[in-house]
Amino acid sequence: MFWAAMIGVIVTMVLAMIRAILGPTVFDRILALNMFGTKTVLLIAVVGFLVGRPDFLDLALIYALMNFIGTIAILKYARFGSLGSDAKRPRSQL
Amino acid sequence: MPRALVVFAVLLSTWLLWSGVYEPLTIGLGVASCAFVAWFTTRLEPGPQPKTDMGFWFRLLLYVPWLLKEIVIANLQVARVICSPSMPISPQMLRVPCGPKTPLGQTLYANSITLTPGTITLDLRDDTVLVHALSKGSSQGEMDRRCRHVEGQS
Amino acid sequence: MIVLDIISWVLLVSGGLFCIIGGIGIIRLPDFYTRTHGASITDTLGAGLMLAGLGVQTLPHFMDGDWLILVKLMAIAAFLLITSPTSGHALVKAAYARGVRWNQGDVPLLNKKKEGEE
Repeated sequence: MFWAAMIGVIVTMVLAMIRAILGPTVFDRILALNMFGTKTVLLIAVVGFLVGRPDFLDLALIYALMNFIGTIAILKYARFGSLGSDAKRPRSQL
Repeated sequence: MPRALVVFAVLLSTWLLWSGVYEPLTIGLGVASCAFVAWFTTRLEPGPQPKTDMGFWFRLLLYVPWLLKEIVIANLQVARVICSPSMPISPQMLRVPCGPKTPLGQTLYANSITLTPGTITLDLRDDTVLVHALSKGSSQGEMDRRCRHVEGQS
Repeated sequence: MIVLDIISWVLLVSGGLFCIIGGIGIIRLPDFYTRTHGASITDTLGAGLMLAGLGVQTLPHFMDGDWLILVKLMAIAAFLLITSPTSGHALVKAAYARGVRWNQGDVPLLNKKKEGEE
């Protein structure tokens, strides 16, 4: 029965990938990437149950953490053009 | 220093809960890494420390089920809009007055708006929220009232 | 335990269905700001239902150590519920500051200065 959930997740990942390729702006691509990452977390969890090794959930949790930090980092780069603390930061946008 | 001790205790209990293996080597590694992270946090500036009391957490606990119910309802609405062939959307930017006044209450309000599909918060300043909505009509008045209640007004 | 299996089945399949609906939304909706609502569906109800379905799977052997799996599933769900609005808000705010256009409706700008600066 986990196959049905897996197929749903994989179809969603394909759709997100299509949007990442089409996306007219860079923000569409980041949105699709973020969604792809969330689906990866779900996929790891479902696969863990499918093969009977629920310790995969630890990997899923780590992936969720890294996906969040990665999205924020890419956004910071897209917005300020640098990741360092010396990034030129418009005063009004803290 | 007490803050570092609290961080250490929380991290170590999480480690012990997560690992499920209780041998000297893994526990030792856990203690070492938790101590390192606790030392690391002393080098960070302490963030804002909002004042909370027990009543706040209790009211928050009552607020969450209502929020989950709202999320499910909004999900069904947006799903129906997306699935219908004509896609009857009327996207718009709205300025909504923000009832909660403390930073904690405003954060709760803005996060609740964003978490509900169909509405997303863009900006918050001067006690108004800039919201992008997929279509007209949502339960923001009710959400505003409940957030103010959680915050402690009235 | 056939009842639990059926409940879990229903939750997993409906979670997958909501994920696909959000995926269709992210393709069909016309501009960036509306697409974020499609992504919001998969992040809340899609992920929530699917994790709930997996959580029901742990119940038959709850006392033999499966409670730890349930705790981990709930931690993942709570983490997704906290980070999803944060990254969503950061995304639209960055797009708004960069001046990404929206399709229709008159726009009450909070501060016109920001548009000029960028």
